[in-house]
Amino acid sequence: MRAIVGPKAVLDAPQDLLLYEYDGSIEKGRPEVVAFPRSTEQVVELVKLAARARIPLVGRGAGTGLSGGVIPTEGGLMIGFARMNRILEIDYDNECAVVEPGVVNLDITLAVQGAGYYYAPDPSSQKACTIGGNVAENAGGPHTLAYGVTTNHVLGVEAVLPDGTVIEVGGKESDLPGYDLRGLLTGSEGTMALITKVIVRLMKAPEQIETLLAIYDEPAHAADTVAGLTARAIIPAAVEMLDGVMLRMVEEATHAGYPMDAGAVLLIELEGLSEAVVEQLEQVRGVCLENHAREVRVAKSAEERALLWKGRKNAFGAVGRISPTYYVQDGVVPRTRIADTLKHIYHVAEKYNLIISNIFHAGDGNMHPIILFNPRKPEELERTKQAGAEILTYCIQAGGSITGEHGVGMEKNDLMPLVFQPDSLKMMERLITVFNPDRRLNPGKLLPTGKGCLEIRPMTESQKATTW
Amino acid sequence: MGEMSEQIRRPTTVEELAAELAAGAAAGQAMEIGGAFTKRRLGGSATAAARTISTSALDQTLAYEPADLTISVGAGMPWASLTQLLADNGQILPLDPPFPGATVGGVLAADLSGPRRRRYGTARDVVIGMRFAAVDGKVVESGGMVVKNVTGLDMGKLMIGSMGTLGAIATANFKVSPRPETSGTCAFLSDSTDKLAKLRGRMLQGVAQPTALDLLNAACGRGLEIDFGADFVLLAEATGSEAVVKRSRATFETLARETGVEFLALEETAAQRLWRAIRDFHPASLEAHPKGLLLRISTTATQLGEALALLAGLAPDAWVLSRAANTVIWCSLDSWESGARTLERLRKAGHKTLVESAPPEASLERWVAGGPALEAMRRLKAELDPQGLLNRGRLWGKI
Ligand SMILES: Cc1cc2nc3c(=O)[nH]c(=O)nc-3n(C[C@H](O)[C@H](O)[C@H](O)COP(=O)(O)OP(=O)(O)OC[C@H]3O[C@@H](n4cnc5c(N)ncnc54)[C@H](O)[C@@H]3O)c2cc1C
Repeated sequence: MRAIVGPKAVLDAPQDLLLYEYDGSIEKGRPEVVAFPRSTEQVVELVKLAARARIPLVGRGAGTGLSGGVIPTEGGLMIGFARMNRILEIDYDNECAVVEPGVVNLDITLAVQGAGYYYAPDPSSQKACTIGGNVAENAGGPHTLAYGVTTNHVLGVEAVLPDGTVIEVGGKESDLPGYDLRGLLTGSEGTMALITKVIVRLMKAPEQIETLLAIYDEPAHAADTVAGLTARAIIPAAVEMLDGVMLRMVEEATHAGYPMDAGAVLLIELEGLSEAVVEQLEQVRGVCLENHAREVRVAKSAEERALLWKGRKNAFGAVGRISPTYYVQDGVVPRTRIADTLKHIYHVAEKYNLIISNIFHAGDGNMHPIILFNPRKPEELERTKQAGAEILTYCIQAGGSITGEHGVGMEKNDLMPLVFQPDSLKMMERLITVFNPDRRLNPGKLLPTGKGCLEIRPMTESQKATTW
Repeated sequence: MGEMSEQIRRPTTVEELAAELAAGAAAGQAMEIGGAFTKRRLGGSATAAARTISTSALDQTLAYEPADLTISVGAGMPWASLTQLLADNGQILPLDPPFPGATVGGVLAADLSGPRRRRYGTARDVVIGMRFAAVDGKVVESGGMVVKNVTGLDMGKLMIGSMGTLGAIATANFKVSPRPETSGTCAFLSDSTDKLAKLRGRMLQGVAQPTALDLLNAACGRGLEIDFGADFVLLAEATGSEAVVKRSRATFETLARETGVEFLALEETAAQRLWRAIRDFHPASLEAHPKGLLLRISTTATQLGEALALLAGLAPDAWVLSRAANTVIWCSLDSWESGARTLERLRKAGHKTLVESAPPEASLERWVAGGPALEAMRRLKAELDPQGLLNRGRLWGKI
């Protein structure tokens, strides 16, 4: 491996590997070696080497995943894409950019915003997570409500199959014939191929943006507002919700100006042509007030807007200050079911005597209950897991699903039979094995293993310090 | 084109559909799967099959909660019925596929869309869940009824555009959109493809974005009975509130003046008729050119003007329609023999050109395909349909 990528680009000392045994989830597992290629050719060589040696392998972006997607379940080789982080081409005429997988999400927008463009999918982790990881997980974000998730913004990918074959699918041109392999690979959680290049869509930045903070005494009223907006045919660019528990944690950490005594707030963003934004602002304010918002604030400047969003995007860091260990869930429900799902979550918190805070992409019904727990109390960990499973079961019964953007990984794979019949799971397995016949690439993910979870680990100091 | 087998089987439940496929597979019979069979000349003609299965009887609304902006229907539901149901509730599913009478399943399997694609995308952007029957008789489900979902592989993507070669789409779930308050259409006339390509570029760089942006030549306008008397016309639709549409129209008009092309604001009923005619470009051109060639050119913005100019020089009488924002061009030529030269020149100039339709006797390379990606597609096909029974000849027999 050192001959392929150079001596400094391979790690195998135990103290170095420690850094690579976790991601943003509560799972843990150590690779035997980590290599950092600089090119597709080097990826191919590494993959072929692993194929000859028959060792498992997994691709790693920034390790911010929240479902253990990147955790090696059987040791083996981890291919880190940190050095493949170049933006290869920016093509405004064709409204796209060609990037390597290790490019950090936000860096694309930073590179094109001067010309009035941006890359739309904006996971809250966008300062750290990579495009390769985004494609693998089909990541979403606050603004995917109006513009769609990663899969709607990926025009083409280059990928290396576990036998070393390089395939190119999609491209700058639309409507190329054949099966939509880019659609199949996007969201396949690194179980079918390693992504080595991505063509992403660039969008024109909106003329005007307005950000509102609607403040409520009751979380249910905030939830009703979301349903009210949808019913009125208003689709804002983003609708995020923070409940009271969450608000107080965020405010203490960020001083974003959120009210400490509220039951919930909605952070609503409107964007587009000035005419549209001005009209929508009044409509949205109306729907908020109708649903008993006690106050609706509109950010008066770019600084105020940035501060409101900082509160939202730093939320996980804020939780980390209170409780170093927490369990983030990612269930989705139809938008008319947010209010009763929230109510159920509070009921579960009470039943299991746990603190659960909520911060989530309300506009598309993507709930993120965050369960705080103390890992040193095994009995509390057990309650946490049960509470999590109960919430997800409720989401399924409400007509929803168990993950909206974080992926199944090794965390929810044993819940998959609650969502899909065996025949559907079998078909997924068959499709994966077409690309990855011996399941050596990222084994133990996405599909049920029947083995259950790995051990839960406390957050490291470096993770706590990170601001998202 | 193959002959239809005498009796078309029309299962009434998803399970019956799966059983039909399994029975065909057990007997080793070639099977043709379709909905209303409106697209037998498109996408690699279907060849004769021992068993013909239609999903047309799976035409129920399975779930519709307007407040959630989602709907689930059987694959056999006519597309027109689906959009009517939504319209009754002030909602839209703006794929605008060609072929009146087409069913939901057929639209998805052929991955058809229309002018408003710039704003709303294609089938892959609106399908949130799907059930399909596999050739082994299993019913497979993907996605669900929520607008954001990464639970498991997105198998629906694989079925969209697969032309029924991997299985039979049984039900589909969509996310729908609220109907915009109003719309307005402008036409830009010019004899220069260059000027229109430039105007296109400037429109798309602006903050006032069109919802639809199509370009057609005079022959296409005459064929569809929407002739503007210019060599080329670019059509733009803006949607939204009154104020938004007004502002967009003003912006487009200014750009037209700056680019030196003639500007026309169309009256609403004329505009609706126009978009309906354009939407049915495919069936209209196939009917007008029964022995012709229908080409699909996937090009880039940088090459769009050049491709249009090339076509204008080589085949001035061909019907040319471009979904200009997405830089796809369709070109319908009245004879496949003379059209073959145009095809060759396009490919030589580097434009990725596909023969969407040609008479069976035409000796042409319909799809220039190869490489490891095609191999991967073939392996998928072999996994899902090992005997190669489903919709033989579709996808140009390449997969
Ligand atoms: C504070 C915080 C907030 C978050 N907010 C959001 C959010 O709003 N929306 C959202 O969707 N997610 C969110 N996430 C989750 C996470 O950031 C995303 O899943 C992200 O896409 C992971 O990217 P990564 O580069 O860190 O990937 P990693 O964690 O390194 O890997 C994730 C998966 O991708 C695979 N992978 C990585 N690179 C490649 C490659 N090149 N080829 C093939 N497979 C690859 C890995 O094998 C693994 O299965 C959040 C996470 C945190 C910690």
